[in-house]
Amino acid sequence: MILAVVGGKGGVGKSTVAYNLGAHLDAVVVDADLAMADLPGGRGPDLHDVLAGRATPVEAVREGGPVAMLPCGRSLAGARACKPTDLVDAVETVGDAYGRVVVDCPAGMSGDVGLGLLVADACVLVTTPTPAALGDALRARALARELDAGLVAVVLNRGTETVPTETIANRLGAPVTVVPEDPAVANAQAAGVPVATTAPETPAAAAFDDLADAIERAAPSTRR
Amino acid sequence: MVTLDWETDRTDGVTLVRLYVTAEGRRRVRIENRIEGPVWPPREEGQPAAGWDDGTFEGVVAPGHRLVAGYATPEPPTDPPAEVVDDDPAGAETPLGPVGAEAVETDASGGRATATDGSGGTTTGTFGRHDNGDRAASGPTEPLDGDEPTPEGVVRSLGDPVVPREAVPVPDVLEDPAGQENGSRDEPEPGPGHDTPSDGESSLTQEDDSPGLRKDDSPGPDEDDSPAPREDGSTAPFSDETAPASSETAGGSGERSVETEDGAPVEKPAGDEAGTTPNRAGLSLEGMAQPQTDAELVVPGPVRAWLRDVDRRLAAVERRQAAETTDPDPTVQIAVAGDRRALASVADRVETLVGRAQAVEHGATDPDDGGR
Repeated sequence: MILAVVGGKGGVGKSTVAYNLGAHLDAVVVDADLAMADLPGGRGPDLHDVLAGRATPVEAVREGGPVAMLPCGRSLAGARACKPTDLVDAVETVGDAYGRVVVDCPAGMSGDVGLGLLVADACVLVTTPTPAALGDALRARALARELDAGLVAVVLNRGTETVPTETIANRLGAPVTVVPEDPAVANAQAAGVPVATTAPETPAAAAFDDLADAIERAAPSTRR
Repeated sequence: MVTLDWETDRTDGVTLVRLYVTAEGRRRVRIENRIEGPVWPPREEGQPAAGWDDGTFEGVVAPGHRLVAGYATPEPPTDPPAEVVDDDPAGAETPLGPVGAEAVETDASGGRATATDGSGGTTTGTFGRHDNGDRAASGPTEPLDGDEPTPEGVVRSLGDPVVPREAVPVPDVLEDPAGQENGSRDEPEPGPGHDTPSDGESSLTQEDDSPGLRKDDSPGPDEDDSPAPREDGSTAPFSDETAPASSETAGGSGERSVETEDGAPVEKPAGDEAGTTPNRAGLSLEGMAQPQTDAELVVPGPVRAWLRDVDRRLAAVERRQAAETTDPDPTVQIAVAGDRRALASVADRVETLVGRAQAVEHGATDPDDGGR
C-alpha cells in the first residue's frame, strides 16, 4: 500500500502526520518535498541522490530510527540536480521492497504533490480548522480525485471540540479524525520520534492509532 | 451483454458503493440503487456529478473500457446494492462515460486536456493519459488497457517542483545547506595518498587505505545505523559522525595521532596539510587543490570534494584489484560507474567553459586581437 499524505497548505502538520502514521503502519516514510525537506534526515544517500541516479531507492531507506525513512536532501544543489518524474518509480520500488509506504507530499499544488498522489493507492488529507487550510484542502482533494488516489481519511490537526467535523467530513467526503493540539506531538516530532513512543497515553497518540486503523481497514479496497 | 460488479464498504455510518460496468458492445446503461434509503451521489460544486439523476446513474460503456460509478448511502448495504435497469445499444458517436459528462479533447501537446463544453466540469486535465485520438471520457470510464496518468503528464500539468537551476547559486560557501554533503566530504581525511606524494606518504597512504577500504566495502547498516555504503554516503557518513568512533580508532588512529602529536597541521609541508587537517574543511580543500590547480586558482569546495571522493573510490577499487584478495564489491562498482558517467558529463561542460574562458582571457589581455 502506498499512502500519500497531502494538505495543500503548508504548516498544517503533514510531515508530523506522515511520520506518526509511518510508525503506526510500520511503513517507510518517503519525504517527497523535493525543494524543502523537513523530516529528520541524517547521513547517507537521500532522495535527491536517488532521483539523480546516484543511489537506488532501497539503499537510501534508513532503517535505524524509530520509523524507516527515505529522507530528501536539504541542499538546493541537490534539489536542482534531481529528476522529479523518477519519484514515481522510486516510491514504487520502495513499496515493492517494504510493503507499505507513506509519502509525505509537500505543500502547494505543484508537480511533486501530483507525483506523490499519482504513485499512491490512497491518500490522507491533513488540514487545520482554518479557512485558508480548508480551502487548500479542497483543492488538494480535487487533485487527488483526478489522480485516482482515493481519500481514505481527513486529519483535522490541532482541532478542538468545537470544530464542525461533520461539515468537514461531508464537504471533503471522508471520515475526519481530529488530532488535538498537544505539545507532546511537536516535542516528539522535534526529537524525531513518534508521539506514541514519547507520550503513548495522550489523546494525540490515540488519534494517530485510530487513524492508522481506519486506513488499514480502507486500504484493501483502495488498490488501483 | 452487460455485467455489473460492485463493492460495498461501510465506514463511519456510511455505506460506500462502487459499481463497475463492462459490456461486450457499446451500450448505454441505466443503473438504479437497490438499497433502501437516500442515495448520495458524488457532487461537483454542489451539483450531482454527471450521469446521476435522482438515485439512478446513466452512462455509456464499450468493450475494453469499464464504466465506474460510486455513491454513498446512510443505510447498510444490500446484495445487490444496485441493478442495471436499462440497457440499450449506443452509437459510436456517443461519448463514453456518464451521460452528460463534458467531453475532453487532448490538445496538440497530448499532455493536457481541456474541457471543451459545458459547465460543472468533472476534470481539468488528463495528466498525460494517452487518449488514442479518441474523445476521452472525462468522467469515470476506466480504459482497461492500462492508460493512466503519467509522471511526465503530471509535471507538465502541475509544474516542475524542482528549484530552477539558474536560481541556485553555486554553493562555494562551505556551510551552505548542503553541509551534509560538502561539509562531511571535506571533513574526512581527504585522501592525500594519491594526490600528495610527500614525505608522509607511507603513513598517509596506509591510513587512507584502511578508512578508504573500510568505507567502500563496509556495508554501512551492519556496522552503524548510517546506511550509506556508497557514493556520497561512502565517505560522508562514515567519516563525519558515525565513523570517528570506530574507523578512526581502528584504521585512522595513526593518522589522528600523527596529526595531534605534530600539533598544528600548519607545521607540515603543504602537501601534508591535505592529509592532516580533517576538521578544517577550508584547509583540507586548499591542500587538495594544490596538486590539481595553480595556487591562485580557486576551485569551488564542493567540486574539489567531489573529485576527491571519486579519486578515493577509484583508488580503493584499484587497490582491491591489485590485491586480488577480495571479490569486487558490487556497490563500489556501481558507484564507480556512476562516477564515470558524472565525470564524462562534467568533462564536456568543463571543456566548453575552458574554451570560453580562454577566449575571454585572451580578449582581456590582448584587446587588439579582437578577443580571439
